[in-house]
Amino acid sequence: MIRFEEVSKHYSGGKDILQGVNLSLEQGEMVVVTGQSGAGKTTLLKLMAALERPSHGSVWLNEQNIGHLRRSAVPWLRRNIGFVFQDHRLLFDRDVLGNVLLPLEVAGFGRKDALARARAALDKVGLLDREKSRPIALSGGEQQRLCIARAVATRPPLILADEPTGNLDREYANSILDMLINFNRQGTTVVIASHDADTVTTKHRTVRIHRGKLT
Amino acid sequence: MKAWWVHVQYAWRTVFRRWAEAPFGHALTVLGLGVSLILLAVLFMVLMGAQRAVDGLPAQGAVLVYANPHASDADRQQLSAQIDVLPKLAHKQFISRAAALSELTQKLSLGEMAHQLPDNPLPDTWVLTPSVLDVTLIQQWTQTLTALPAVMLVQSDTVWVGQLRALVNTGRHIVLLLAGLLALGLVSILGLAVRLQIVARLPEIDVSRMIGATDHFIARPFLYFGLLEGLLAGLVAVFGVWLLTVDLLPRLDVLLRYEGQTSLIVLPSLQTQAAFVLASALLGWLGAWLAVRQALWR
Repeated sequence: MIRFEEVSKHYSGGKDILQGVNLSLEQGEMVVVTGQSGAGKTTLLKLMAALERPSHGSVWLNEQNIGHLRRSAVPWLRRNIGFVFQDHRLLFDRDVLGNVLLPLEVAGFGRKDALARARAALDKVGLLDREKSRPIALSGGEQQRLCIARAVATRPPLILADEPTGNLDREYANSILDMLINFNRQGTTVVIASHDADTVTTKHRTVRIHRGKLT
Repeated sequence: MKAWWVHVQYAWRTVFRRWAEAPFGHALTVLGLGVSLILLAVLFMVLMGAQRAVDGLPAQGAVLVYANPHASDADRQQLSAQIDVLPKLAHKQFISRAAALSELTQKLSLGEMAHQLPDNPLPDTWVLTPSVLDVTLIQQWTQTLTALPAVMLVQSDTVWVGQLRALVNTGRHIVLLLAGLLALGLVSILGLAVRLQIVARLPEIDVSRMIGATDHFIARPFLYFGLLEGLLAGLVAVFGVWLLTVDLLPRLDVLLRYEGQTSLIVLPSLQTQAAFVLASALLGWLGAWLAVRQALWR
């Protein structure tokens, strides 16, 4: 499903974030990318979502070379990816339901269908009773769950989660991980980036990254 | 098609939600633009009224040619021949000095007093009517006739009509120039309003892009917002013009009735009003498009 071929990424005037990365992920796999802060985990995920383009090498998603995609084609690719952001990126002027509706509106779902899907996603993360609340009124764990609900609302085949348990205590972190595992069990490919080695469960594939290189 | 329609609906919902978030500010913008448009519309209407009034003036004024009483018969014949070959001459009338004195005597009831005069002081006169009202033509006639020895004076009452028309034409150009400037102002003000909205919504725009929103999806609510504000400003202007004419017209009519004139200001037709509102809406859209293009698509 995803293939990295000798991928490097560097920013002008900066150091190499990724160097010669080769990686292959299969459909339905769950992969945890671990490494210290600044190791290149987020960049790896951004390359998968075409939020960044590689400086060298190729990133393939479903046999499409992301680096060669036309700018106008990128949004259509991103609609098949659910992204759980490290900093949530919630919209505080919309209520909980409005946040989950956004990707459905972007994808062109009809109002009725979008509402049904948004509520189903909120139900999965246990926030259905908070649909009228503003994100500011939610706890950190709830905000993260809302972020996950937004990522899965369109039922994408791929979920990329950047530090989904970053600032949460163990109990909340486990519940978030359980949710992502559940989505994976339903056939969704899940890639989690985490600096916390304890996030890793023995059942799932782990990729370690250190100073931009896979180890 | 279905996704497009869903996006259109989403964009309008977003526009109304944003309006509801700051209704007072948006209403003030619309009102400000509307009032500016009212001023322009009234100016235009006055100009059109003036145009109608000038168009109602006689298109064929008269040119009066007064003969020199001491001119020889040969000179008089030369004058008569020259009048016959004047270009675009529609009609000519000769009034002899004797007929003129007789008419004057009757009109002013001079009676015996006219007969006491040692000599008839009035000249022979030709009243010439051109087929078109053309200031250049009249000037050409005047120049030709004045050069003849039999002519004492050439007078024209058509020149001022031509001058009035030229004045109205100049006024029309000025109003068109003002309209252009005002359109530019409308585009700028709405462009600025949309730009401020874009800046305020950058987080939402960023997230939308990350989850697959196209540029068109992001731009559409802003464009519709510009369209809506332009449309509302146009409606405010049409309503304002209607109010003004309802208030002003009866007063003007009373005034003009004494002068035997018709109204100077007339409410434009429904088609003109609709075109005005449409133009305002399109200008709003243009302002938004420029702001979106500058801020989002660069």
